[in-house]
Amino acid sequence: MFHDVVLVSHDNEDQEDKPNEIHDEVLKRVNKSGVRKSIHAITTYAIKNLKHSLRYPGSWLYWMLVPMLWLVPYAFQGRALIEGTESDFFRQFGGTGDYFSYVAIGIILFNIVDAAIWGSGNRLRWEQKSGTFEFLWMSPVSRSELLLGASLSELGWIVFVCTGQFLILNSILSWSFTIVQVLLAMLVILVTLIGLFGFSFLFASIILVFKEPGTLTELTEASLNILLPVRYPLQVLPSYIRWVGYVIPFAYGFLAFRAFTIAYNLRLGALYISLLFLLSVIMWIGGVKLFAKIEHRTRSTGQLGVY
Amino acid sequence: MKSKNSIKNTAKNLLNELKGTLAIYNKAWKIRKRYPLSLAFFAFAPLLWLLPHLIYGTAVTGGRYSAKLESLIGFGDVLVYTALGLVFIALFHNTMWGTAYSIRDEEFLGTLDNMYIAPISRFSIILGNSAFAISQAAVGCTIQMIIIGVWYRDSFNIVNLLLATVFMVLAIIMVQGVSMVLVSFVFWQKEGWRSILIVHSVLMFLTPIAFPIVVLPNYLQGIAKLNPLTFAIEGFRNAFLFGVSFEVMRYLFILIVAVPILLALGVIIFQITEKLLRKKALLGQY
Repeated sequence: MFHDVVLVSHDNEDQEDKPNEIHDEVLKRVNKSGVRKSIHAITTYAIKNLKHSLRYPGSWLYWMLVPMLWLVPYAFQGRALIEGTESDFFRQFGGTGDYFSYVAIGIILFNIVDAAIWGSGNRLRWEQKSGTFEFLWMSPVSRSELLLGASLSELGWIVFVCTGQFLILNSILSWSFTIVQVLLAMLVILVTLIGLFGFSFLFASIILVFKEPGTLTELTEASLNILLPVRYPLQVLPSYIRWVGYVIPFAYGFLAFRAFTIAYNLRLGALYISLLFLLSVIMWIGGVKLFAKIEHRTRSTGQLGVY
Repeated sequence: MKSKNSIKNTAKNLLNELKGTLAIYNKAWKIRKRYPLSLAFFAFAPLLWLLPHLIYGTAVTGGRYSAKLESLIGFGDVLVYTALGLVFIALFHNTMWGTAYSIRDEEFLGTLDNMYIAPISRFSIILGNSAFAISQAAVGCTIQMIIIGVWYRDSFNIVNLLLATVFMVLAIIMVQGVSMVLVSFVFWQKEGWRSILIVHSVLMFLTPIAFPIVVLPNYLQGIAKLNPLTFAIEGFRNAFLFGVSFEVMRYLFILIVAVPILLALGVIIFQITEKLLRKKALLGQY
């Protein structure tokens, strides 16, 4: 923005007799470049983060393959508990009796939640650890743009990991999906990402207050593992805990994805995706507002850069 | 006279090592107590880690009882069976991770060099950290065992619990050997946590934690039977559920033989790695 103003001033040195016109022109150009500047800031920060993670290509492959190992115990546990590969409880409440496919999809989608917790949510803390936090905070971009950039870089990661895992499992489990199902599933992921952005803001605010994120991150991840329908339908949880799962937007991401793919229930899928969208938007608005408030508070108390 | 002095010196050295171990143990607890949230989390986290497997088990069967499990092992309570396996493996893994990263943590904090010039053995450093990891994990383990005891209150037997504890103690000694190998690996690779996580993930299905090994394909059953943890976990669970039996005694015998071998192997691998890294001046490299 400053750069633009200087350029405009130089270009118009000969027009000193028309200060109002110049002022208007400057304002016009500044306003015009506002959105462009935001996009530029967001993508620059996202590219910087992606560059960092691309320096370790093994890490991408590792995180695509290792969660596949975590699936195996669930297959054998199921085999030890019931005859056959279909569970009545899963059929009744999960939309499919195939409990292993249910868990497999849950584990793939949990990558998005993981990215929101470990990636974007902890990003500011990592900048603090790298010693680059203050520089970022002083740069002429808004905090929201920084966090959006962080979430955007996680998007690349999520797309790579989820697609890879989906293809591996598809070859093992012989899922057969139509183009429409795949497109609907992609739509669910897209809407879930709105929730990811909101969650990132929310979590980043908490990290700004508590500083030591390790415990908090692990606690959040462990709790979401229980409260979300990752491995089982929420109906199995006691009713006094179940409602918590139903107010987390990600839960509807899991439900909609399964409704469109393995259960193929379009009406239910549409209902879930609407709820997902609604709760994600609420989470985004709430997250942004909370972040602005917390950031203001930590700045005014001098706690922002405290390590 | 000479041998009397040598015994006296050995005893004195051992006492000093013990003091060193205790100092490391106290230091680790002091640091942990500085973060009360973290302390509370590590006490209760094992409960959170247990729940997804337990809830999944009850969801698959649609309740607490499984006829198939009963036909396989003679016991059909999904919650008690799975929880016993998970409690055991959680204690094992927490101790393993805590010990494996003890030296690496000193490197991070910049205190490794000071530790190395302290007049105590490397093993005392590892042992002190390991004792801390065990005591921390024991808090969670005790809470878990109380819950299992409540679930199993009708058939609970204190003698069976004591016998099961013997398996737990043997496994804790065994984990020291495994941890020494992992410490060597972390020492060598620096960021070796990825490999440890792979070992951890593979062990989760090659050990009968939430299912008996008979449900594994034949080739995996063969590998699982080479894994000493299989005998530890089966011995622990069978002792708790059924008490003394020929099978339990067989598992106990296998463990009594395997533990010293694994411990010695761990010590030898650690000594060789440390020597090689010192020779190449890679020991303190960050």
